[in-house]
Amino acid sequence: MSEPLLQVRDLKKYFPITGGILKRKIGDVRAVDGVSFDVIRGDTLAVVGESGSGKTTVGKTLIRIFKPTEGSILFENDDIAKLEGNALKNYRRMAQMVFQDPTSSLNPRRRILDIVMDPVNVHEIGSRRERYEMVARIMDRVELPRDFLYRYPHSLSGGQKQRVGIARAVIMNPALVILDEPTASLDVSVQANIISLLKEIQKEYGLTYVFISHNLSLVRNIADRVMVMYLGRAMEMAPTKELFTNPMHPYTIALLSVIPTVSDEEEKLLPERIKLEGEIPSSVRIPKGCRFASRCPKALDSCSLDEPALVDVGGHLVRCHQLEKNA
Amino acid sequence: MNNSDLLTIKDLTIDFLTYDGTARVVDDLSLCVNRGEIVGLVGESGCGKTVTAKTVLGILPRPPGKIVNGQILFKDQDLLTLKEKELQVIRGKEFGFVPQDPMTFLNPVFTIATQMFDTHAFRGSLDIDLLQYLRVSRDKNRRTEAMQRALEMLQKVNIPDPDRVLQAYPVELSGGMRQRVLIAMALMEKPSFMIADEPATALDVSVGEQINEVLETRVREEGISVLYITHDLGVARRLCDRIYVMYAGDIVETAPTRKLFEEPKHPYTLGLLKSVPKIYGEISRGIEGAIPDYYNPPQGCRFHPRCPHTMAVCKQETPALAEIATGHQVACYLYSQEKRAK
Repeated sequence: MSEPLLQVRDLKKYFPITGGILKRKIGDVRAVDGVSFDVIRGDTLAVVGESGSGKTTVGKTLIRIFKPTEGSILFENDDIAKLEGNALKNYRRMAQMVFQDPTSSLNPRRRILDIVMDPVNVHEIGSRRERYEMVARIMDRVELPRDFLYRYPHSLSGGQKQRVGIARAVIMNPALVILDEPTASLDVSVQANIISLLKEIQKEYGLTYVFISHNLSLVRNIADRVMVMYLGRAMEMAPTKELFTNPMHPYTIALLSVIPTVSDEEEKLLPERIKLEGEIPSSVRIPKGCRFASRCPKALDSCSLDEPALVDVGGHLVRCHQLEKNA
Repeated sequence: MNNSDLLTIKDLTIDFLTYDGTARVVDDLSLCVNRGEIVGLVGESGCGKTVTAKTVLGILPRPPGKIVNGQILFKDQDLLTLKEKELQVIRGKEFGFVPQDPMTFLNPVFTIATQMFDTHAFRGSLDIDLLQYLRVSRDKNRRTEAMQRALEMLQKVNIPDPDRVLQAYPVELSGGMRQRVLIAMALMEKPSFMIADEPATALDVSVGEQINEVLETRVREEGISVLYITHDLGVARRLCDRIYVMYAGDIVETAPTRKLFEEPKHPYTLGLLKSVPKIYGEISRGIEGAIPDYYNPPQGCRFHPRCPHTMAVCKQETPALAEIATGHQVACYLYSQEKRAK
């Protein structure tokens, strides 16, 4: 099982900045600045990084909420990056998204029934009766009582709302689901509920997940492979277990070292603490050379000369000058 | 009760009076913060952590809030019996507060310098009129003195280039920087007690870590007592000396940090700990059910509808905190038969 469902090559998404009275373009926010990766069928790929690293933009570009500036996304021999009109609509049947904030991603003026039935209506599947049955079935699957169908989002708790979000994404039986920090706004006990639900659904429906998160211990529990992003680029990519036991990029090591743990045995598994100085630079003025050099504890002067390439170092893809030599 | 107590909350009960009825959001809560201690108050959203903090600071909106019962003793003075003006003085001179969301707690139309100057010049003073304000803020000596203090504080919270930050407006600063500024402001007048309400939650893990570290160094160095409110057990474990676990308006377990993580007792604490995703790749199914409806809370132990060990007595009467080891108290019939006095 290593057939890729999606092949992303050199994906870029820039947002123009305009200024002056003529609203001329004066710069770009380079949110995603050349990432390439494969999403394996039936797998979970986690995209991690701090806010501003471009992980959500990657997710939104994959389901074409954003049109990529450059690059290609291959899905069953189609280049998603270039789809328009009906072809795009058909693709969206296959690719769905669960959003970070369940409160703002559900329309407060519509009943749960209407919200969950929306995708089926848009794609005109089956009769009214069959559509209702699809909704009822998916509601059972996400473990929500059917009388919730006639309620409005405000009367649901955060966890229940997120279940509705999942139901809406899965009802079309898509191939790919983008999960954009689906539990970031939930409590831990509820988060654990939602994560186990997501895992079960993935198995039953044979879904492929792209799981966007900044919570590394969560990623460890759900992902098969991890891509660590920084300022719009992938810094390290490896199978989950490998990445956690043998992190290579200084950024990954630093991120792992500050994971809050709840026991000594866990703490022993983490690298020695490294404090990252400062914050992620602006994606408008991306530093020259290695993007991470300004915060890297191991940076040499030569790091800011040119940008390192993503190279294969013993099963990891790593972007670091100091590891390049071992490749 | 001993001399080392700085803040003691005793039997605090708070109701919210709304059109839907009366919600008892804090129910007979007691806790204490000793001098020089960082105490964690851990619980999920809606358990009453922030209401408790606001009540201590005297900023709970009343109505809808109503304090039904209890005492908040600060240096042996009951804050709940003080007049607003007396409270203002104590709040200004003794309390510091670091909020959860650094984006909304700084005034967007004033520079950091102005806001820090005001804090420095007027903390603990009452009813300042415009003339007074102008007189004080035009006073050159006071101004330089305050600015020096502000610069010193900004340096202490590791702000690179404090001169620039001082002249900046809040929008020009990142979340992490704003949170540092707020910590600097909270510490400026050397408070003896501080409430930190999830100071790192709105920030990235790496930045949040920097913030927690700065906060910890500063308060440890200056011997400030802190009530650190958080929902993140991992963060509480790293920072706090002692932890209170709160559920649905009451403390269910308290212990020194090490003890709590090594020998958690209360089923809720156990459930929470299991729910945290582990770095070796384990996660439980979480705790089934949801936090109870405050308008109509379950009788007896408020956790019983979600508890895997519910017994008959749990549905009848509320368990009281009972000491099972030094400093380790649990409110659960599995460990003690102690019931709460009516």
